[in-house]
Amino acid sequence: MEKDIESIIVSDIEKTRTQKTEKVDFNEVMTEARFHFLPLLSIAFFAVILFTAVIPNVQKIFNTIDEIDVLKEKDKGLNSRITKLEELRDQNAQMQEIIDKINFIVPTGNSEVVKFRERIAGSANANALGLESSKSSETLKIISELESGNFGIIEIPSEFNIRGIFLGFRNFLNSLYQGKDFFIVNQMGLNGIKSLTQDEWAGEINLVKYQFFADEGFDPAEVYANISENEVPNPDVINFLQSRFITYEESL
Amino acid sequence: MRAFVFNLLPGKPKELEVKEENRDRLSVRSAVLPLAAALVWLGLIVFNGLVVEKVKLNWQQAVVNKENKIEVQYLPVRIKHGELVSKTNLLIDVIQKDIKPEVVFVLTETLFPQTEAGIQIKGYGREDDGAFSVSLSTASYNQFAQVIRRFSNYEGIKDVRSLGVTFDSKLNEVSGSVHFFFKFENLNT
Repeated sequence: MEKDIESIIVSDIEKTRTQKTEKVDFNEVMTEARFHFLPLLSIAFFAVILFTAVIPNVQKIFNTIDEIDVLKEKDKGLNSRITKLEELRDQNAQMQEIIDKINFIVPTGNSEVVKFRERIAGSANANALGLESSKSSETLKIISELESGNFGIIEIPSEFNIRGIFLGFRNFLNSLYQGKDFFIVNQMGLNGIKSLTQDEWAGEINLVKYQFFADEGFDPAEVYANISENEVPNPDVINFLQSRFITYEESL
Repeated sequence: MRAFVFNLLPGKPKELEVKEENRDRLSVRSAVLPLAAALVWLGLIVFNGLVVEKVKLNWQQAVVNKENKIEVQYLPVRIKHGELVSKTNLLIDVIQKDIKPEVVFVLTETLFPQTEAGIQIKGYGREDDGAFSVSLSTASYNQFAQVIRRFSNYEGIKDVRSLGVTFDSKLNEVSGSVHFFFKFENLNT
């Protein structure tokens, strides 16, 4: 029992002793700090330079390297654009031929439509058909237009009332399709008006000619140049133009 | 004149002298740190200015030159290509309607290669929705149904339907019209 009390007292004394030694003496610290002022100042100065100059500069270098990577990617993209444009430049003559053909078959001037009607009348006469009447429709319908909305395609219908023999009609329609004009037989009514032995037919044919229209604010250079070189011309239309017009003309 | 210097102060304790020596050594060594940091800083500035920024400027210049080249030198090509793309896209709906009327005459010649008793073609037509029609008369309803079956079985056309089928008691014939669409893809192959 006595031993237990003694050991408790000894441990208490030791505890108090260690508590005393752990107490920080502020004056002593300040004296030590003053004593080591120069090395402490050097370390502080080092820290200031490190955090205000070195690290921001390293960050700046890494940011610049990131910017260089972005520029490299951009340059890569531009190189592929230039390669594509070079390919397009090589196809310049072919593109021009197709554009010329499109501009011919789908004119932008009304005078071309008037000429078209004259050619139809001429072709009817050449196939021994009598042109009883012809008229152009007053209503022009917009078929499709670009997203910009200031350039598109309109249809101009013309009606023809023709009379003659069946073979004359066939030859007449074939001759139109073999010609340079592009039109659609929008409506057609071809009926035998007499007995088969007499072979007389009357035809009401509604032909539609197409025309590009452009609003006053339409700037072709701006609209066309904004189209990506990666977009391809519609292959069905190209095939159609080549088989129907370009190859046909080359074979002549 | 001779001068006598006496240090009457008591000497520093040995412990303090050792401590001061250590402090001095530490001061010299720690002075190297800010110097080294300043040198690294200067090195980074020089590296950034002479190497990294120069490389960046070169790439910037290359990008600007290529952009200018595309904007100026390739402008005519871009305009031409844009015109071709725009106009072909505008024409796609139009060419779908382009079916030569001759095909309807050829079709009737194929379906009726020889004159058949009772069957008489009275007219041909096309509607604005693109459908073609053949008006004809037959001797009976049964024969008209056979005619329609011939049209339906023909592979180059679709959506075959008959309209206005009537019996004319004066002429003793069934007349009507058969309407159908040509398959555009078949016409272009």
